[in-house]
Amino acid sequence: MKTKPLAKLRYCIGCLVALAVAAVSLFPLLWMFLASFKNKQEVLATPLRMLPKQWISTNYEAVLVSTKNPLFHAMLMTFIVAVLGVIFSLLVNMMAAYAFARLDFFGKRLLWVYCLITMYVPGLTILITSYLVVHSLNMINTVWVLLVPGIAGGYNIFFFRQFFLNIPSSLEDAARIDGCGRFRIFWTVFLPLSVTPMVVQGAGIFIGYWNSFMWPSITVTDKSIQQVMPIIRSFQTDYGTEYGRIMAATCLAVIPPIALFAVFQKHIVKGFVLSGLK
Amino acid sequence: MNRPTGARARRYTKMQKRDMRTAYLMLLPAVALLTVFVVAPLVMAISKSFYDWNFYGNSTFVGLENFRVIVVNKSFRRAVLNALKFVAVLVPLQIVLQFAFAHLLKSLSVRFSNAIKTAVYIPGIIAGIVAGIIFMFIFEYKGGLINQMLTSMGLSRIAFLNNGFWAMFSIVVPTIWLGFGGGTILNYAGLISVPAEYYEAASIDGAGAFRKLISITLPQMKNIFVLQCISMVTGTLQMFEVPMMMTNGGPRESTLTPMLYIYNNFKSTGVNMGRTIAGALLIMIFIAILNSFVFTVIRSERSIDG
Repeated sequence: MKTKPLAKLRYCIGCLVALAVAAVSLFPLLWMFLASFKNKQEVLATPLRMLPKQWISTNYEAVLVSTKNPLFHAMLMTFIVAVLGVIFSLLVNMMAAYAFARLDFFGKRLLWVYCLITMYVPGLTILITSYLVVHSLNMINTVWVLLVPGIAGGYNIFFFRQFFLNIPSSLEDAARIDGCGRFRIFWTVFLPLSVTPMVVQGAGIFIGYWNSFMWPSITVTDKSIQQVMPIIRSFQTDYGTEYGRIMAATCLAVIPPIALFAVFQKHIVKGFVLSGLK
Repeated sequence: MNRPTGARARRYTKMQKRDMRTAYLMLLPAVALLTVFVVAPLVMAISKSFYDWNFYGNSTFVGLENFRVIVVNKSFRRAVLNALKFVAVLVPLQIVLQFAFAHLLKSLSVRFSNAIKTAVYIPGIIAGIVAGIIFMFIFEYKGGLINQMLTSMGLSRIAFLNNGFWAMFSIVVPTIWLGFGGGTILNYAGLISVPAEYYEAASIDGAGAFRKLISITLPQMKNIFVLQCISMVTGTLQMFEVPMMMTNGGPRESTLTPMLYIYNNFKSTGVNMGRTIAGALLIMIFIAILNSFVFTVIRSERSIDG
């Protein structure tokens, strides 16, 4: 009789702690959102106010009309690059994964190790020489430099190969008996079966492109194709402590990833576990 | 009897040939891209590390001189030391926090814990640049949230970004914030995959909650901890965006990271790039040794289990 209320109490405390942690996790984003509607005086004012006295939209207006740092244009450019990146990355890596999972060919083991080793090359080691490579390919200050180097990824190939290995070969055999070629099988059997891992990896690839800062900031100086994170950075340099405006810019910049997360939330969380457990 | 078998074998070979051609075609884009954008830069990095060169001047072969100079370079040593400090703080702290929270969530109802998991995962999709800006705002000296709370409690303000210890602290906090949700979810998945019979058997033997944690949960979670640990070490050694935004390596290089060091050298003219690359290669070797060590441990354990 006595243990039951105690267990219940412990359960409630557990729930409260969990809620508190979630609130602390989300608070910085809420704080950013609220600050974006505060005016210059209020945003760092003492004493502190949680909600803006008056909700103003001038921060957003200022950020969106800025010609020096064209945020909306940068978001559009980044979106295009990221979507193309997702499409090509899925296509290229899934084709390679299919070959490794289902076909026999000379040098398979060697090529497999070759692809896997690329996963262990830290970005830091090849930063400078990657710049030299794209420079010698005349890709500096073009959309290509933003898109192409990120397409192929050892990890993506690894991930899809694991998935393809678990697809029963009977499905494929049926198609082969009907006289389908390997490309047809890849398109008509494997792609439709891979929707979930494609969403998982696709979302990750999109967010990777969207959030990238270092690569675009060293390879692109032309503002008309600049990506969103370097633009956010230059807002911060220009505005200093005018946090209302900076926060308006960051609020806009986090909309696409958060919208994507909202739509594919279940897949993304599940995929994170899959990719983490390997 | 012989003829049909032979014919089948020949036909099989022909199909195999066609499969081989298909395989190479399907692999071509990925292998070509990886070669141009990963392997070629790596090979170039190795060869360029033996030269004294920069983007504007000539290059001269100097042998291993770059490696000799970089290991005694003050800024580089400082950057590596700082990175190791970040590793020493961030890796254990993150693993403990994420595990503890996952453990808590496991004791709650599935629906409730799913909602919480989603909420804590959201910071994981935020860019390091944005996280840096948000926390600069929160740690602002005069009107920032934390300092306002401190002053309202009668305490004095902290100049977070201008003091060695607090500068490190203000980089650690956003980093934990970014990785917390993902790590929690990973730990949670590990926890629920521990077979329930183990706990039941332990209960029958009269084991308490603490005993179960020590003797069942932690050993079962070991591989996850090891994998998490290695990816955290690799990530922490390459920390860039958050430190760049928060402190840009300051004050007096106390939060300079290897990545920031390389980036700054890249941006400044006249610096010997060969030397910078030599440093970057040494870090890669360190990460590779760590990786191979951990994989040997995991593999040897698996083979014992199997």
